[in-house]
Amino acid sequence: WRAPPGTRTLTPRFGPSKPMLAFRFLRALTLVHRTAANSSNAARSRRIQRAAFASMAYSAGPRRAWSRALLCRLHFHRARRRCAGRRRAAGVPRRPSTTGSPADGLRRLVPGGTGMDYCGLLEETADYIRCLSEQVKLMQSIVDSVGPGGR
Amino acid sequence: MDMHGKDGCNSLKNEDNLEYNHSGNSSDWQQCNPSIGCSDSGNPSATVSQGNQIGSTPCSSISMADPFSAGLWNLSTESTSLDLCKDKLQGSSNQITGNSMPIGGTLLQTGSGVLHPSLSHFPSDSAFIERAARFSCFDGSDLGGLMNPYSAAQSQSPHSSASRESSGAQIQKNEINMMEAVRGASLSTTDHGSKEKDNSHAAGNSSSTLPAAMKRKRPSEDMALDQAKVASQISGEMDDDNMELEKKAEQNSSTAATSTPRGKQVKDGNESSKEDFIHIRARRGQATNSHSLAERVRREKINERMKLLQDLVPGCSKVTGKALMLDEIINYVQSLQQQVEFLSMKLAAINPRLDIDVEAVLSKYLLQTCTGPSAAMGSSSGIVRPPPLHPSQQGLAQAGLSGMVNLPDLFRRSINAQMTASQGYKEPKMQVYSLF
Repeated sequence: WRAPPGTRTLTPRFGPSKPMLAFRFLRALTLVHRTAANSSNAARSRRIQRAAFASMAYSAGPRRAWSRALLCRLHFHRARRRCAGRRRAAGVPRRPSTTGSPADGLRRLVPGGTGMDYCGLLEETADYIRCLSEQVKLMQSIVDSVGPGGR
Repeated sequence: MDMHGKDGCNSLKNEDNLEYNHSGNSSDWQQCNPSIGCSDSGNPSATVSQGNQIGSTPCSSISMADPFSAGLWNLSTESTSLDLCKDKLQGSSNQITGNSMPIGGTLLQTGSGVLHPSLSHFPSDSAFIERAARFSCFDGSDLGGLMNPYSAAQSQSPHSSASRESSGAQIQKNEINMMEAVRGASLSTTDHGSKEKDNSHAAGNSSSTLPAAMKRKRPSEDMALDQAKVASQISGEMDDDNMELEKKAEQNSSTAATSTPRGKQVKDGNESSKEDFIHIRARRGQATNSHSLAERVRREKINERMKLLQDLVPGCSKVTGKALMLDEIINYVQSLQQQVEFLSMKLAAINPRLDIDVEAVLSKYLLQTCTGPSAAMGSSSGIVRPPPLHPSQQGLAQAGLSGMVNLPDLFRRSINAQMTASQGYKEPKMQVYSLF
């Protein structure tokens, strides 16, 4: 393989764009509240969760493998639900990986982690963790801002 | 001659090193920190061709010596650290004239005998040669004494001395791409010089702290380590001084290297060719074939990523070991995902009638990492803000998000538009997209 000419000892880490995240998520949240006001809480929470992941993926941008995989998964699920009816995939028996590499657990957690080498997986994990924590902070601040008055 | 045969074998082995080093040098050193004294790209290429020729004629010590001297004197004149170069030049001068090494002694004598005719076309360096000859009787460890007479001579011919210094530096850097005949013995002495340099410049360029990996800003330490390694390969017998220095080198390299010293001999490593676009210095005692080099680079990348992850995941700094770290990371990601799920449930449970106070949310969320308000004020025109938000307003501007000040307006507008209008969903989106 070829090492890049300008050796990057530590690549600069660009964090997730907070304004983008906030904007997207807030917009999605209001959308959910508006359109699904009469559905159950559970369904709404699932939609909100999906909206959270979608806004995360969009704000991270397409240059990240995990965001691409996440968006693919979201679109695929949405398409499958709308078009193909409800077909549950056969549950794959999960075995704790004793023989596999130690990174298998991580691969399952991080979207798009299965198709990556260990080095890229670690990088994607770092970015994923950063975005996830930003999302959590945002949602927490929303909940806090509503205050104890909310149901 | 026995020595010639040995030289031949070694030169063949080092031919690859020569080619590799030279091709690596031309691109590598362009990016070097010039403070270390990188050479021009042109010069190493000149030496490359000579080196190739030399490799093909292993038994002619004269041709072997030629590129050495040519490279010695033709290298760039850039050099900042005089001491550094002095040390290296000490080593190089010892290379030329030989030292007290039993094995290297005969080699160097032949080398020095060979060098003289080639050196004839460097008249300005004759004074240096005399000095070098004088230095040959000095022990390697006594380089401190050697420095003084040399520094006196420097004032005489600044240019040539500068070239010598830089060439000395270059020798270190180019891994003495030349004949290992002169190089082999010289390496043990440059080992002296390099170790002296390392010890004296421990604060500055501490080789013991920098892992010798891909192109770094301080390749000199890599050079030193590599030379020490090759020296150990070539010279079978060691003086007591050299033994001490070898141990010192081992300590230095062991602190610098990762915890996996290779059992392979450096000799075997030199036999395999290094790829010419991976600029990695093999560490002492480690195999230098391309596979292990690539692996080592990969491992270092992984270690670097793990360090980043360690910073991200709270409470991970105490954990040592890759497996435990991985478990911690997995737990943290799982907990984050669970938090998202829990918070989304909470958000779903919020009464949708309640207006989400966008400014409050944004101020709170976007200023979470900001410490304190600065003098810079950004005003969001027309927005009535409760007093506690004034510091957060200042913090907004302080955060350097100059465009951010307009965002709350747009956010509010877009979200209100969505909440009120049923069909107007697209328009606010368009509005806000124009901002981004």
